[in-house]
Amino acid sequence: MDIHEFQAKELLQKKGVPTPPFFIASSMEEVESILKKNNLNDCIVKVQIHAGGRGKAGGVRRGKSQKEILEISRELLGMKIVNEQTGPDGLVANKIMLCYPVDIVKEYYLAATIDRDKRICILLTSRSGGMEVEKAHETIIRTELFSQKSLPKTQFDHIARALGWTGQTKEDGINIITAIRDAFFYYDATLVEINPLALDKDGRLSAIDAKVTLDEDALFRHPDLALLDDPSQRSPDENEAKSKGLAFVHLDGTIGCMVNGAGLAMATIDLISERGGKAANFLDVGGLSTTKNITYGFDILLSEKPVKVIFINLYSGINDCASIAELFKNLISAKKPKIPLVIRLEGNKSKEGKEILANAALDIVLADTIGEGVEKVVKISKKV
Amino acid sequence: MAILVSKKSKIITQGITGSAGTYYTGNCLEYGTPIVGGVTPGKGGEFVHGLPVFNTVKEACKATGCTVSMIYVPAPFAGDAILEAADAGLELVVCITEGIPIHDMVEITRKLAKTKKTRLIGPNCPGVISPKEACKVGIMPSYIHRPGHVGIVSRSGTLLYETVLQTTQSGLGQSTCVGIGGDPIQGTSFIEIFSLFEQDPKTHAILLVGEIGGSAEEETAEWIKKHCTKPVVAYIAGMYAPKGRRMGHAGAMIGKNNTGIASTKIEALRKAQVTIVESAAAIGAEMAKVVKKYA
Repeated sequence: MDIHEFQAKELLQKKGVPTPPFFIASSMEEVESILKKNNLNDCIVKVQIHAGGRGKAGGVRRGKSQKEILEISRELLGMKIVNEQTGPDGLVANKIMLCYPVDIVKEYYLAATIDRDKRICILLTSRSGGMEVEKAHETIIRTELFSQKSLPKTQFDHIARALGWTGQTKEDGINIITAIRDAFFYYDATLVEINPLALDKDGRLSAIDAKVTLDEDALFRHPDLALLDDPSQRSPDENEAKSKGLAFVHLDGTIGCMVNGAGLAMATIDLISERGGKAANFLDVGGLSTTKNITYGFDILLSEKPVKVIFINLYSGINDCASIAELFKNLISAKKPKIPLVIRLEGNKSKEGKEILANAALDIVLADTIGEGVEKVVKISKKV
Repeated sequence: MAILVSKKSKIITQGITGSAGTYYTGNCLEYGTPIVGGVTPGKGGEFVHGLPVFNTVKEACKATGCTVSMIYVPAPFAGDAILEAADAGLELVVCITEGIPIHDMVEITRKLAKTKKTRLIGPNCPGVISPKEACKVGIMPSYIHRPGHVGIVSRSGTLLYETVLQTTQSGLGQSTCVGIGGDPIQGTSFIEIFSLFEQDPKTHAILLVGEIGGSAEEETAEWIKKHCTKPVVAYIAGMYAPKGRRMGHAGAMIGKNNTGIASTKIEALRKAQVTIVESAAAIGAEMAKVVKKYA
C-alpha cells in the first residue's frame, strides 16, 4: 500500500529519522494560516500524490516570499500530475506540503527493502543520492537486515567509510540507519526509502524526501496504518473493486475483461493486444470465481464508460461452470447489458455450463477456447 | 515416478475443519490422493470425511506417519502452520493460503533453509498434482490432467490450468504440475522445481509459465543453460501490463526502472535455447511440436 510523503515522514520521525519541519495544507485558507502563524517567507511547496517524478512534472517548487508561496500553492493545490508512474488518468494533489528549505551540501541514498529472489531483507546505501542514484548503481552497498538483531558495528563502520561519514555525522547517520531498520520491521513495510538524505552546511543530516510502502497483507496487525490509505489516489472504479476484494487496474482500451486469477487475466490482456485489440482493464475476480465476486465484477464492467464489449474468461475450480452459467443467465436478464458479450467458461462441468448458455436464448457470443474468445471479442471491438 | 508427490505420499490437511480445508480434502480424496488425516488445534478427536483430526502436526505424525501437509489455514495463522509442519519434520508442505505477510515469509524461508529437511511449495499457490500417481495436493480441477511426460511449473494458478488443458488437448500428458505461487517470496523457486524435473526420468520436457515481476525467470534461464538437458518451452504473462501497477498477484509488478518486465525474461530464456510461446492460445500446440521434435 502506497502512502503519501508526509505520512512516510511522520512514521519515520516517530522512529527517530530527522526531517526538515513541514506543514500540510489542503486549502488556500490553510496555506494562509500556516504562513501567518509561522512567519514563513521561504519554503518548498510539494504536491502530495502517490507517484514519483513530481519534481520533473513541476509539482515541487520553491517560493521565496509569502506572495510567491501563495501563488505556487494556488497552482499546486488540485494540480493533476500525469506521468509514467501515475498512469494515463493522472493523479490529483489534494494536499500540498510546505517545507523549510535546507542548504544541501551532500546527498545520500538510504533504503530498506526486500530482495525477493534471495528471500532476504536488505539495506541499500549510497553516497550518491537525489536524482543521481538511478545512475549510481555501482556505488550502492547492500547489507542484509535481520528482524531479530541490529547491524553489527563492523557493518556500520563499513557503510560510514563508504559514505564518507566521520565524527558526529557518523554517529547521526548510524542512528538514522537504525531508525530506518526499526521502521521497516515495525511497520511491516516492503520499502522504506530516503532519497535524498541531505547533509546541510551545519553538518546535520535530514530526510528531504521519504517513501514508505506498506505490506497490504500485514495490515490486519496494523489497524492504525490501514487508516493511512488515501482512496483519492485511485479511480472510483478501482476503489469500488478494492472494497469488494477484487483486483482492478485501468487500461486505455475498449474491451472490458473479467478473468479469474492474475496470471490468466494478464495472459488474456496480452492475447487481446497481440490480436490487435485493446483491453479496457485488468480485472481479477479471484481464482475461486465466487458468485459474489462475479456479480461485483460484472457491475463494474457495465458501469465503465469506455467499455464497448465485454470478454468473460473464467477458469473455474470450485464453483462449477453450470452454476456460473446459471448466474450469468440471471445477471444478463436482470441487467440487460447494452453492449456485446463474449463468454468463455472452462473448468468443472464446463460442458453443462456451455449448454446452459447456448440454450438460454441470450444475445451473447460463446467461445470454447481462450484463442477463439479473444478472436471474437477483438473482431466485435473493431465494429462497435 | 513423478516429482514431489506420489501414491506413496502420506498426506495431512492443516485446517481440515475449515470450509476450504474440508471441501478440498474431499475433492483430493475423490481423485485418489492418499490423505491420512488432518489437523485443527482444538478439534482433535473429530473426523472429517472419515479421516481423524488431530490437535497438532506432531500428533498427526505419530499416529499416521504422514510426510506431506497441505495448508488451508487463514493467512494470519498460516505462517505458524508452516513452521509447525517443519518442526514436526514433514518433508513437503504445500501452502494454498494467500495473503501471508512478506516479512513472515522472509523469516519462514530462513528457518526452513536452516533445517534443510522441509520443502515448502507456495504460499498463494494451487498446489501439486502427479496424474499417473493419482495424487493431487491442491485445488486444481482434476479432469484437465492426463498422465504423461511434460513437467509444468507456474507462478499463476488459473494460468496453470489453462496451460495443462492446452497440453492435454494437444495430445500430451503431464508427469507433475507445480504451482509455485504468485507471492514475491516463494518457498520453492522455478530452479528448484527444474532440478527435480531434470532428475525425474518420467519427465521428458518442461513447460515454464512465468509472469512479470522479480527476476526468477532470468535466473532460471541461467540455470537451464548450465544444467538442463531436457527441452524447455516457456510462456511469460504480462507482456502488455502497465508499469508500477500490482497485477493481482503481490509479486506481479513491473518496477520503476523496468525491472521485472516480460521482454527481459523472454530474451534471457531465448538465450538459453528455450522455445518461447508468444500467444497464450498456442501453448499446448507449441509444446506438442517441441515434444515431437525431440521424441
